[in-house]
Parts: sequence; structure tokens; C-alpha cells
Amino acid sequence: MTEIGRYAEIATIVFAVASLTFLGLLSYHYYLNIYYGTYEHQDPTVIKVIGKQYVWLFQYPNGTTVPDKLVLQAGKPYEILVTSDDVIHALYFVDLGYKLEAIPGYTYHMYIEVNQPGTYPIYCAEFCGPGHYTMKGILIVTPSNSSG
Amino acid sequence: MMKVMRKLSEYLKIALTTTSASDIGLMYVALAIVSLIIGSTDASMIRIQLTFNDMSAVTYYNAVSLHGIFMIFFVVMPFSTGLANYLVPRMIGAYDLYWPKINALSFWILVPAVLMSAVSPLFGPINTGWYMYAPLSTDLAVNGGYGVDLIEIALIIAGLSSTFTGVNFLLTILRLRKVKFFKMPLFVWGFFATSILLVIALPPLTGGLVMAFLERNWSLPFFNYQLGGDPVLWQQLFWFFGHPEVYILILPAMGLISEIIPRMAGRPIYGYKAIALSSMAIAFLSAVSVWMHHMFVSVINPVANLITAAMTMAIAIPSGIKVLNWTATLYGGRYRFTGPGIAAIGFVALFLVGGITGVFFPLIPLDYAFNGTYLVVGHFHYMVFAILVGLLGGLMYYFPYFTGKRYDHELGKLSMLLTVVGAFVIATGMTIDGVLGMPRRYAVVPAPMYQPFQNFISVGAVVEGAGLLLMVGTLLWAWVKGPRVVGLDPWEAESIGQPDFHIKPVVLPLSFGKEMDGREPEHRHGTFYPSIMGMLLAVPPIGFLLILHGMMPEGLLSILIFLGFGLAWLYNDYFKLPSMGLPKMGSLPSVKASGASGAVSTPTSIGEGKYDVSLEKGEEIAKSVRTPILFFIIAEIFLFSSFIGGYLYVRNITPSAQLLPSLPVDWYGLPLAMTVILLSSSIPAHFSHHFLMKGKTKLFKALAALTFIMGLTFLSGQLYEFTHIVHFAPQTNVFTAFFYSIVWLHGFHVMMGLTLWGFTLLRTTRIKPFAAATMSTYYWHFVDAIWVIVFTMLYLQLPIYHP
Repeated sequence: MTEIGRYAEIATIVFAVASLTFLGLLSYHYYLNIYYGTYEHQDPTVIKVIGKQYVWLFQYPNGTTVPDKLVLQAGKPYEILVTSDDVIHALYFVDLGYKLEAIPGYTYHMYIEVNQPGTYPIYCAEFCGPGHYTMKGILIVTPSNSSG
Repeated sequence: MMKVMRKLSEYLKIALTTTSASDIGLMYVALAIVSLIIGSTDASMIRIQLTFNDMSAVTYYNAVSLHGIFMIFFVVMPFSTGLANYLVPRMIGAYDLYWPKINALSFWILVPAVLMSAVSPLFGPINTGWYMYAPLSTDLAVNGGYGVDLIEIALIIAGLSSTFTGVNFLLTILRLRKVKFFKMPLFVWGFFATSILLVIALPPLTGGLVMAFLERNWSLPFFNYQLGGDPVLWQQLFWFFGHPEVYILILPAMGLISEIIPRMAGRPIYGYKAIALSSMAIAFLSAVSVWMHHMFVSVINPVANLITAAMTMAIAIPSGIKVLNWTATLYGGRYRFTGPGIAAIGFVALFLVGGITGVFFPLIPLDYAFNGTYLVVGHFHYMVFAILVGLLGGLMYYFPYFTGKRYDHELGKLSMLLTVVGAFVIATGMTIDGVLGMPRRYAVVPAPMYQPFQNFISVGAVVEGAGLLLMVGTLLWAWVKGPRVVGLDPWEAESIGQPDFHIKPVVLPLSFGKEMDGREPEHRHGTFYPSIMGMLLAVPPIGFLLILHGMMPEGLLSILIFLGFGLAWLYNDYFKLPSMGLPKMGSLPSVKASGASGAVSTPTSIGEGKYDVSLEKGEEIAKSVRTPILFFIIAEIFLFSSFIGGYLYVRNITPSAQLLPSLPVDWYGLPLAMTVILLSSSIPAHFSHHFLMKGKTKLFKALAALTFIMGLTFLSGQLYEFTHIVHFAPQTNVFTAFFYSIVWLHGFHVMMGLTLWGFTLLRTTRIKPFAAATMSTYYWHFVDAIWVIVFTMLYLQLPIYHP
């Protein structure tokens, strides 16, 4: 047992290190893709998002501000600027598997492009007070041909 | 009836006066069980709301916050500290901890902390979550009232208690050990690693809590972005504590499992050294650079994130090594499926699944999806349930020792099985909801598809509760009515060559008020000072709270009560003449039975010599206090680092602070003169110690007095500076807030240094204060070194601090 046990132990450790390294490198590759998303989308439409207890304000390039409703076109790149007015929130698109914290004093960029038209929920994923659970919005993705 | 009352009051008197680690350990476990009841009540409230939806949001979030705070700070930490108190001295052959009185003090500090946290919701909402993110915790529109203040005070003093415990156990294991390092039981190894983390991880939490407390009550804008503060700073400080904290929680449980598995399998542990050293590796890695993996969605920096992710995955390796070796120990053995046996297997299973669900988080793109969802909740509930099961397994394993009774093994098995099954159901339900994307801390389940799994968790909670109640019932019944243990070896551990303790019991039970080996002591009372002092430690922070809210006399009075009592203790222990015929406080009768260990109990009692103690002995005494003072200085360095590091973080990184003017320090004359005086006072400090060691007492006294006077001059200079020269208020912006808090924190340390020097000088009336002088000198050098940083960073603002 001792001899075999030692080899089995070393083999398991090596296997674990190898698989963790592989997973780490793979995920870091994707992470950098997300981080440098701007270079792939040359000319994204910029939408500003402000988190406030307990509402998401979406500011469109034409100057209108809409609470809790984000309308995007399918297949078009967007740059979303996330910030907060009061406490920390987190803008969370469940179906996109993506979230970033909205931190007062900071503005973070999020590059997204949705291909599938439909309606998706938006949640706040950082506890922001007793109304946290009411801080929900919807993401509406319209088909790209409908409005050009 | 009278007899019961008399017995109870006798037990209460023992509790308040004991300094024996064995007794204090049992008291810790009792406190943890009280907190477990409170924490479980909060958990039930969460389950009721998420299943039936009939509570106000504020109440629900109070329960969420307090559930976490109680379970982490007041259940797991006291539980494992209690078992360590009870077991470590027995396992390494020490008859007590290195500082028995400080150990009692550490315990009693926790009692008001638990009490304050329990009543805190009556004084204001605690809608913060257990990690109390700023600026929500400082948002008085949401968290007005005194609820959060009480929690902050409770955690500050609990942190102090944990730091004391950490230093105490490090010294106990280093100094009082009668076994070789690589013969120490694995539980001792686990707690050794835990103690290191307690010393370095708790001070940053204290620092952060002090900042939050000052922002709430005195408007210092540490986390307010409009005045340059930084909400991310709280996250940095909190998680610098928070990640080592999870290993503080789990390492003792791992240690218990490493004790139980070989004894249930009837084989020696496989890979002893690997398990022992992997605890140290985990402690090391967890303190270095993993805390930012809690912040992948709040700090966006590819380099920092890469390092954090890599280190986080690296920590899986020593954890995996432990699992491998536990499993290998089982191989070929005939495993006894007793209550603790099931706990050990349950621990390994929960830890394994918890570990696998944890692998998602350092993979940053997956973290973007799962951060802040129930997957996090599920992952750590696997882990904390593993810890709970491990600690309860330890409780069941050592139960026959401390009661001398046997419990019903079938009921014991059933209760542990229910606990493990309930844990799996709860954590699995959470994990599934997390994979489906349900965000944490929703008072109402956000979409119908998540509801079935929430109900599934509630079913698990019922099973869990039934298991815990059955376990408590079984053990309590056994304690009162159970059959006595025959012999001294309830688990036949000794007969398979794996004795449980180094100090073998001569008679069971090893219960409350007994000697380490189970004998009844002749007289059991120590001193009331540590217990009263510990409970009073909550008073000065409450006094500051009162002062900041305009109740000056009440606040000052409460601070004075604390200081007065502290002086009384000092006087009683160090200055009262022995001729008054009272027994020396704190010297428990157990010292008599332990002979050898009594000789090295405390640095102060070593110094308790006659005036003509030899210089060689003095050298020895001075040497023996170097390590403890060094440990305290390390803890202090981490405390200062949280403030100094906080200033540097804000100065260099925070976007809103870059727009602020730098600190308007345009007066240099007085601070420069004071700096020269303070720094040069290190010279007489050094030589006073030098002359004491050479036996030149007069020179020593003169130079110590000179040091004292120079320190006092520095302080009065600062007093003048802050009353006459400084021309900005601390509330102006984040830089002024840091200026005031860092300079005053340093000033407070100068005061403590002066207190030490004053104490040393007064001690010369009684003895040659080798120990006290060494402490004062080392501490003084440390205070001076910190001032070099403070002066160059805040006054001169040298460019090295903001490249």
C-alpha cells in the first residue's frame, strides 16, 4: 500500500495540477477576450447605466433616460458603462452569464452583443438595501431587421 | 433545591474566576452552542420567508445579516477555540496555556460581544449582509440607529479577543510543548496554522470596522466617493481578512477529522507529514494573495486578477492532499461507523463537493456569471456544513471524556446522519438555484423557476434541525442519565496505539473545574479580574459612541470605569505587597500539580523575582518576552497597514480621490522638531535596556525616565499641533480623514508605549523589571519606526508614496 499509495498520490496531484492549469489558462484566455472586447467591436453604441436604490437608469445616446428597461438590437455591439449613485449594486444579465458591480465613483465598461431576440431579466446582484429584491429590470432584444 | 442553587452558584464562581484552559474551553463551547441556537433561529426565519413570503424585507435582511455574523464569528470561531482550549494542552502535555489569565480575558470579551449582537436589531436595522459592504453599512438612510454600530463594536472586540487567542496558542505550542513538532497531533497542527492566521488576519478587519464606525458616527468619509473615499477599499480590507478567515474556520475542523479518522479506521493516519505541512501551506497561501477572488466583479485589473486566480487554484492542491490522505487512511481498515465516524466521512464528502463547486470561482468568466448568485451560497454552505459536522464530530468524540458518560450510539449515529443529509440537501438546493442564476439576498424569490429548489432547501433545513435537536437531546440525556464510561479509554484509542492525550486522565470525567488529568482540585478559584475586565472591554467603545453623539459625561465615565478597573488589576497583580497575605491572583492550584509548566507560565510571573535576581536570569527573562512582543508587533503592523495601505490605495488608485488637492500640510516646524525628539528617544530607550541588562539600575532608571519624558513631549507637541495649527477638519475629504486617523492611531500607540514605560519605572520599586523593560524598549522602537512612515508619508508626502 505504501509504495503504490505514494505513486497514486503523486499521480493524482500531478493530474490535479495539470487540469487546474488547463482550466486556468482556458478561462484566462476568455477573460482577456472579454476585457479587450472593445477591439473586436469597432464602433459600439454607448449606453450608460446608473444604479440607484432601487432602480436601474439606462441613458441612451439620444439623451433619453429610461428606468428598468434596456432595449438593444440583436447582433449589434454595445458598450455599457456601469456606475452607481449611492451604494454598490451589480448589473446582472442572467441569461448572458455576465455581471459587473456598479460602484459609486467608478465606471466600468461592459461590451455585449446579443444575437437572440427576446426578453431577458435584469437583476441587481449586490445587496443594496431592503428594496434590493425589487431592483429588477428587463432587457428587450429586438430583431435587427425590424428597425434597421 | 437549595443544594442545586448552591451548586449553580459554585459553578458560576468557578466560571468567573477560572483560568484553566480546560474549563475555559468548555465555556467557549457552551457559548458557541448558545450562538448556534440564535444563528439557527435566523436561518429558520430566512427559510420561512423564502418558502411562505410573510415577513417585512427589513426583518428578513436583519436575519440574513445576523445569521452570517453569528455562525461565522460566534459559532464556529468560539467552538473551535473552545475545543482547542480543551484539547491542545492535553495533547501536547501543557498544563495550561501560556497566558492563562489572558485566555480567560479572551473568553469573557466574547460574552458581551455575543450579547450585543443578539440585541442589536432592537436598536436599528442591520441591513448589511455579513460582509457589511460600505457604503451600504454607512448609509444612514437604510441603516440608521445603533444596530450596525453595536455589531461593529462587537466584531472589533471579538477581533481583539481572537488576536490574543492566536498569540496565546502560538506561544503555548512553541514554548510549552512536551512532544516533538512532528509528533504533535494533527489537530494541534491545524490550530497552530489557525493561530498564525488569527494574528495577521483579524487586525485589518478591526481597522476596516473602525473606519466604518467613524464614518457612521463622525462623518469621516473613508468610503464616501463624493469626498474621495472608496467603497472598494472596504472590500479590500474585508476580504484580506475574509479569505484567511475561511481557513481560520476550517483548519481546526480538518484537524479534528485527522484525529477521528485514524481512530475509527483503527489504522495510523496515512501521510502524517503531508497533512501537517499542508495546513501550513494553506495558511501561507491564504494570507498571501487570494482575497481578491471575492472581487472579480468589482476590481477589473488583468494582472491582479491573474495572480489571484492562480493562487486560488494553487490552494486547492494542499486541500486535495488532505482529502487523499484521509481517504488512504481508510483503505484496508475496518471503519467503525459511530457518530464521530459518520461525521468524519460526512466532512470529507461535504468538503469534496464544496471544493469542486469552488473551482468555478477562480475561472473569471464563470465568476462573472456566478458571483453573487446562490452558487456562492451553495459552495460555502457545503464548506461551513463540513466545518459544523467536523466540530460536532469532535464534540461527540470527546464527549465521553468530559462527561464520563456514554451516549446511545444508535441515536448518536442517526442524529449525525440526519445532520449530514440535511446539510447535503440544503447546499445542493442552493447550488442548483445558483446554476440557474438566482441572485443572492432576494427577500422574494425573483422567478417561479427557482421556487421548487428553495422549498427543497427548506425541507433540508427541517432535516438538519431534527438532526441537531436529536443530537443535543441525545448528548444531554446521556450527560444526566447515561451509563458511566468503563475504564479510561472510551474509544479504545489507547489499545490500538493511538492515545488521545499526552496528559493521560487518571479518572473520568475531565469535566468543569477539574485538573487536566481529571482529579478534583483542592480549591478552584482563581481571579475575578480577567472576567470582569473582559466584559468591561465593550464599555469604552460604547463610551466613544456616546461621546460622538453628544453624551460627553456618560461616555467619559464609561471609559474611566474601564481604565480604573485596568489599573486596579495592574496594581493587584504587580504592585500589591505579598505580605498582605492574599494568594497571588491567577496562580491556579493546577500549577502545583504541573510543576514543570508552572515555571514558564507568564513573562510577568517570570519577572516576579526578588530584587537581587541574577543578571543571567535577567537575560533569560528578557529573551523569553521577545517572541511574544514580536507577535503583538506583527498584529500591530497589520493594523497599521490597513490604515496606511488604505491611504496609499486611495491616494494612488481611487478615481474620485485623484481630483482632490493633496493634503494641505504647510507647517513643518513643530512636527519636524517633534519627530526629532521622538526618533532620538529610541537612543535612551535602547541604552536604558542595555544598562539594565548590565545591572546598572540607576542609569537604567535615568534613561527610561528620559525616554518617557521625550515621549510625553512628543505627545504634548501633537496636542498643540492639533488644537492650534492644523487648519482642516477631519471630515473635509478622505485625505484629511486618513491624516487624522493615522496620526491619532499612532498617538494612541505612543500613549500605550508611555504606559508601558511608566509601568516599567514603577515596577523598579518592587523588582528589576527585565521583562517589562524589554517589552517597553521593543515596543518603543516599533512606535518610532511607524512614525518614520507616517511623517514621510503624510507630512513630507515624499514622492515614493505616490509614484
